[in-house]
Amino acid sequence: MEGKTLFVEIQKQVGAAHFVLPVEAVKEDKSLPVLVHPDKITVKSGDGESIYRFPDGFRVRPKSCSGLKWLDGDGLHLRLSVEEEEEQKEEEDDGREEDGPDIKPGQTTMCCAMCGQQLLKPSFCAKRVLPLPSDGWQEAVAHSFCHKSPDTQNMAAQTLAPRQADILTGTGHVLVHSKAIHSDNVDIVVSEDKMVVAPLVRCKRCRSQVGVGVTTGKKTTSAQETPEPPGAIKLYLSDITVHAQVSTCSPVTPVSPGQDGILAQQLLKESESQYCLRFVVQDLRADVYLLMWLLKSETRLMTISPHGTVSCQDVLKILYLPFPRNGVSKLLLESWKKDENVGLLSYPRHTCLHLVSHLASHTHSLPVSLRSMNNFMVGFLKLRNVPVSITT
Amino acid sequence: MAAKRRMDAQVPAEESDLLSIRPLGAGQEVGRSCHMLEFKGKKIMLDTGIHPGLNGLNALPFLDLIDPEEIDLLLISHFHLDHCGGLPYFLTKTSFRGRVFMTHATKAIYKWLLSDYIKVSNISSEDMLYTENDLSASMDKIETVNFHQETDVNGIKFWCYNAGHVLGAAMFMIEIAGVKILYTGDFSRQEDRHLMAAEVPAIHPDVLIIEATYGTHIHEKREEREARFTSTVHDIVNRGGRCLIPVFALGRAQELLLILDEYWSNHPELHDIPIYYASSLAKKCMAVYQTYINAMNEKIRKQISVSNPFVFKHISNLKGMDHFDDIGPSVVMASPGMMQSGLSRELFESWCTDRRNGCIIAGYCVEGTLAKHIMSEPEEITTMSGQKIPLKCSVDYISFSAHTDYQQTSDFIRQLKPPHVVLVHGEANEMSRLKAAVIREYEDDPDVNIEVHNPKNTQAVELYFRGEKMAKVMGSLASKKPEQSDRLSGILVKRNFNYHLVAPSDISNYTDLATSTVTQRQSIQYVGPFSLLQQHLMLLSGDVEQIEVQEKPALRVFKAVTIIQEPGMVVLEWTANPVNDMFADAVVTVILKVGTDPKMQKLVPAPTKTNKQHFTDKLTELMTDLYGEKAITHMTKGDIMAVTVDGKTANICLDTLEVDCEADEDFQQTVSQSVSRLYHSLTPVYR
Repeated sequence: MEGKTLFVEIQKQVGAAHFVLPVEAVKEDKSLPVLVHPDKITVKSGDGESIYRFPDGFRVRPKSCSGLKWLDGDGLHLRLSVEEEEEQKEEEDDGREEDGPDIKPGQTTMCCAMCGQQLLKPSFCAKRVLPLPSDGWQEAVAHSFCHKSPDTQNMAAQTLAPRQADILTGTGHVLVHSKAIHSDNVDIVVSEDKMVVAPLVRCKRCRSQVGVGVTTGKKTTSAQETPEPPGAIKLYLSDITVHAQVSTCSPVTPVSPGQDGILAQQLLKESESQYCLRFVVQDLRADVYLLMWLLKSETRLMTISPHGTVSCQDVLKILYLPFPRNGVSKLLLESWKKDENVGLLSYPRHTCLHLVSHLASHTHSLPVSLRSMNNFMVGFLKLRNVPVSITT
Repeated sequence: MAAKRRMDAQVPAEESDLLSIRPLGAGQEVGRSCHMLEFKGKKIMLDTGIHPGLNGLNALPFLDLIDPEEIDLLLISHFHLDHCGGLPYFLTKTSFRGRVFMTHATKAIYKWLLSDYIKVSNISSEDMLYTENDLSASMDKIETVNFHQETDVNGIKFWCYNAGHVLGAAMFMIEIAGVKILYTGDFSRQEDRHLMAAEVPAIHPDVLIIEATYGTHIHEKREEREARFTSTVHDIVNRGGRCLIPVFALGRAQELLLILDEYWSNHPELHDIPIYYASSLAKKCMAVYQTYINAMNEKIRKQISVSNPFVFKHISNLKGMDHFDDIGPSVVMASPGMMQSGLSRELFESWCTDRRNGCIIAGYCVEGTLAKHIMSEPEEITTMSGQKIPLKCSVDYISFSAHTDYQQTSDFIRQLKPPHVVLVHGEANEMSRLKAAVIREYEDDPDVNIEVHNPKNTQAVELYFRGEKMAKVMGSLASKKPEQSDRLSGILVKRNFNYHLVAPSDISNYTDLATSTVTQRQSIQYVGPFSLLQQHLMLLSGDVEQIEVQEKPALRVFKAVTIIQEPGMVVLEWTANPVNDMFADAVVTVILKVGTDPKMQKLVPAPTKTNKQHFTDKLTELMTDLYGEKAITHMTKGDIMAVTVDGKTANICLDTLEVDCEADEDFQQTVSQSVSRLYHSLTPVYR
């Protein structure tokens, strides 16, 4: 097994880590070919020896070793308590805030993530960038005074529409005025699928859906008339890239590595705003793609090769069940749908698929025995890469 | 303590008996509750609301009439924005430096409600008073209190009672210098399924500041109201109809759910009929409700140990129309309450044409909304898309108000019997009617004297309280229990509103005050002999002691003033106090006179020492001269000198100079005169 990587899952809050060492089966009469040092682990195999050095600032307590077991296909599992330097933790906190697009008033460009086509008019300059309230704000506003007055009722009944130079930011999307959209590059079409009510917003070049149209609801239209053109456009942050200045956008495929960070941030925000950790993920047709259970947001994964290559990332650990269409998973879906502690996430179909593919690909990067738990698959979405250095 | 105090009043504010209550908002109006209390130099603000119908600075109470820097304490009664919506502005954009308190539940919901309110306002208008950062900053400044927990802020004592109304709502009892003021905020004396009724304090307040929202209106009895509600729902589903209940207030929905869930439990025949609750706030509400179970009534608190009362058996959550199979009779509670748009509107439009269906409006509705419109039973309504459709379904109105009505208010006042009632938070006419009704209730009762006030915004109610002052004796003065008619003398120390009488020497031990002494020193030119000065001072005081100060001759007169001889002058030193200053004046007069008056300088009598031994020696000498040596017997015991002449003995008491001779009165008189003369010739004139 020489040359294989060492897998470490660190629970930052408890200061403990789960190690999976690439060790071959040991015969009973032989001693374990592993030596744990505070700054490294050495594994002997045959005549050779592999040394796995920990990055700077990361140390283990060899005496805290527990949960030792050997699993076929994985190697040796063990738990150790770890120490991480304070300085490094501060950096983490700062880094976390920088995640997600930081949109500020001024010249702003939004591009299709798939092909890099500009979606907003070149002249667009955001005067106001304001956060959108949480779901159910109408109810909250209507009930925020002891006595109902026409003013609060009107306030609660209004649709929050962006002005022409506004960008309104939500958990997973931005709302811009329809006049801010570059009509040469973007198509707004009514979906052929009758289940999808909202008009679709597509990139003209690559035909990928980047958002949906939102009617302001100010005008009343009868069913016979043509539908009111959308007053605002909802652009999904997972399908666009945002830049502070006029620039040529390079395409970023949503399935490419690193793009799951945006989805992870969205999920964290949704979890906070919807007060739940379990979600049913469906597309705009209400077809369910995924049951998801956010497990831990304080997990750090690290892989160390004997050649000194270390990769380290903070992840959002998730239990999931893809396509719950039959058997136990269908029953689970039914019970989750009735459970008020389960949130609902509606994304365009391709975003649902990206989410599934990200989770599945990450599941495959885990040691075999850690890929499932209680009938659920174990996956993760990357929150951020952690820079590491090793002093040899 | 607020640093700045205006000094324009004649009487210091701390000593004034004037209690002023000034509504800065919610005076003869509903909305932007804010009241200023001022008493004994302390300033307290009650609530800082905003007006729902006004924008920007206009929505705030009349804060320009006060100096926020002077306010010691701010108390917030509950989370509705007409009671706390101005708080982020007041805490971050004014000079307010005092402390602010609310209950735990109020603080949690305050943040949640305001956070969305700010975002909505920011998007829809330019005129927002504060930002989300201000809200976050305000959270750091807000302190929380438990119900009944007594807190002291600069001598202002306060504690709070449950007010019913909404989760976390509190009534505050404030005590300043023994005067108690109860502020009810919004309250309800009617216990419901989850909230307890407002408590009636066991302590009688001197002033009651009470809400007057419903004036003289009387609510339907709770049992009747609930029975009407459940039977209406039952009727609708029994006739095969669908029942729509628009959700109308935070917390009220939970109350209706508890009622329906219990009713369904008791009626198995209804178990096939689903109840749906469609509210985007449901989860948030539940999260908050399940956290603050301890702020609810006893029934809920007991039940939580068995099962979660907010996990309903017969009610399922509806996430939207997509998940709703409208196939038969059902009960749906949906937002918004006034059906302006959203799910409740959609359902109403699709159900209102069927006469089997019914809609129950469970709360107050404002003009211009569909809910208000259908209460007038119109023939048809206009849909969102502009079509006119007939209104055939039944429409019922059942008010589930969480405000006190006249019956509750009247009963509350009767139990507390406060001498002064100040009405706030009510429309002017309702308030006047309530005022008249309360006055009428007590007009024939000579035992109760209640004054009712209904001030307008910015108009102060001025009340006078002459409190008795009581001082505690502390320290060495308290070491002995005083007898009747004993007089105690010490320094009166006032701290906040407590008075203490302490001996001056205890000042530094029992108070934060420091004590200091002032030593006076005065130099006077004097060139005459020091002994002459001593002679004259002896005539002045008789208590002149010869001492040395820094190896210089000195005199101590009256045991208080020291006179030190210096070349060409004398230096006087004494510790300043009114008595010593007087002694020093007398000594200075003598020194000046001796130094300048030639007559006084001529008289140089020998210094006399009036000690007892000297006198005894001279008396022995005199008696020996008069009666011969043998006649004198000196008895040391009892300090008596006996003089015996011709067998008659006269005893002279050397202490009292009394002469005793029982045998011969003449002899006694002769000896007595001799002793007296000798004594007068030896002792100074002035004693």
